[in-house]
Amino acid sequence: MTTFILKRLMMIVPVALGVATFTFFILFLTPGDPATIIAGPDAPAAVVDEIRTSLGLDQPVYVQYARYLGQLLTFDLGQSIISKRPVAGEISRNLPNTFELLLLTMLLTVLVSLPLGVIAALRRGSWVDTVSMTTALVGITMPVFAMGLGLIWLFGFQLRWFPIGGRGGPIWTAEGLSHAVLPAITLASSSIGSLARLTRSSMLEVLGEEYVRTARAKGLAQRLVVYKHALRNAALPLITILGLQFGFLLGGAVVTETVFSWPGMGRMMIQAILRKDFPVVQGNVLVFALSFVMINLIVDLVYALVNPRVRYG
Amino acid sequence: MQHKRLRDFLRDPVVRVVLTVLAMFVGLALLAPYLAPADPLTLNMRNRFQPPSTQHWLGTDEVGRDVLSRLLFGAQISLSVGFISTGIGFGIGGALGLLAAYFRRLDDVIMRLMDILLAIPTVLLAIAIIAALGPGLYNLMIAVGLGSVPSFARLMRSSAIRLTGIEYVDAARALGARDLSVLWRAVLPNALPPVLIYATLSLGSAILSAAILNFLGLGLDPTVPEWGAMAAAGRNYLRQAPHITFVPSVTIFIVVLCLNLLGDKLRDYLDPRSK
Repeated sequence: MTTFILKRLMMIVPVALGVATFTFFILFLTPGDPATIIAGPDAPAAVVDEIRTSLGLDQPVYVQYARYLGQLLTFDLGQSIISKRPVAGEISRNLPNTFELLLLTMLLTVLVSLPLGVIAALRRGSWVDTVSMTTALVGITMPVFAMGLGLIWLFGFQLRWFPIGGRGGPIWTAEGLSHAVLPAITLASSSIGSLARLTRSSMLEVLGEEYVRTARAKGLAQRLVVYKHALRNAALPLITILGLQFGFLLGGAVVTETVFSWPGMGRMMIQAILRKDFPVVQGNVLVFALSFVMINLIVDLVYALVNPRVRYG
Repeated sequence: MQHKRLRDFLRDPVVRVVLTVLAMFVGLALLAPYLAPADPLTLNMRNRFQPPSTQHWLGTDEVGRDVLSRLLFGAQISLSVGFISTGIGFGIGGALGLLAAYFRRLDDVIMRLMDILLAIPTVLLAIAIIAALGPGLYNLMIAVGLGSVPSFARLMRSSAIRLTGIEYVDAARALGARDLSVLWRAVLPNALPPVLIYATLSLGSAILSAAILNFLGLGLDPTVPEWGAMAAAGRNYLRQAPHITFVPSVTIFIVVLCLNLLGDKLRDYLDPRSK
């Protein structure tokens, strides 16, 4: 197991380096001169030159690249053009809010999609199956922003059950939770759909296996057969999918946070793009991508932990 | 056998409904200049926030423009962004995947590069690219298209790599066919089916991604009639005129749903084992 973990850890080094390289070169693709953008359109040439020199933008690309990587090693993501504050500090202020939302979303996804998928598989072809799979398909297809705005309209404006935006504090407080409910449902709607469909097909496959038939033949209760024998095995591929879904959720978080004015990284990134605050955009893309890489690493390790065939294979 | 399956596919009621709806949208997009009851760009501040009526079937928006007319012209933009960006992803990703599968020396370089891009979630990748390129229709197509390149490359590679050891490919090589000709004539046609299914599904995702980028204000100028941008424009008037947001949102939903259903059915048809 230790070798597996070490091997897997080593694999993220080139990916992390690649992602860092990609985010560095984003700035180079950008039309316009960063120094002019920072100085503003009316700044005299001398000021622009001074900014260019102070940021090292007059140096050759490889020097700038090396310095960028060096800075990353010390968690220095540069400085925001707008607020003049360090990007790392701004991200660390917003990152917990995004993770809080993602955590609630993941919890909601698992709690709803597993029973939905299992029931659909057990009553294959019945109305329960049709209704749950149709709901799942609607969840996958509905644009995230449409789902969010629909929920705001219904539960915020018409029924007045939940606040329509902002963060009300930590999610374990009543105020915080009431603010997080609609964004979490919005974000979870698409992943609930995918996971429920996968749970159904994975369960159907496992229910046909001989060990399930054996468990049934020896007279075990249906509940035991389903939850102890079938679901445990059907859950294996779902762990991997849950990890991949996380990446999808990161993308969805950008939209959800914007719709609900949730003070997280996604909203921060969109505001930064609209204000042309490139160091903040770079820092956000990097942190988003690296969190996805880390989550997939954790998923792989969990998968190896519950499935011995991976460890010894 | 092939013909019977194709006939069954086309006789499937879901396929029929879905193809009819999609054909209708393509028709509406093409005929938008003739069908639209009003100019999609003309402002009429005295006519703001009109609910659906006989005069304005789908109401008017926050600056008095006819929503139905904008929706019809929006179909042109949303569908063409969907098709062209999927074409970009399919073309570049497919070519890279094919090269990686056939020329083993390129495999590591191409696929490690794709792994890096896959580490960035698709929508985020598109956002990062459009942040770099700046707004505009072509940049929107490029950003959405490039965002899907890694998935296409990976799928094409895995589909094509199965074929590289197969007899007819070896036979073509042994007969002295050039590499490109082997790739084009022997490998590509047989590696294509799963990639085509993915392309259908990814057409829906491309329309969604483009709508998301426009909703976030990163794609087109907000006056351009595009479904995502239209939904975003109605956001601040959700209480008084929800139709401004919901009409384009439901339209995106219907089109993407049809494309996803078509992709599902196409998979059953081209790969019966997945049923």
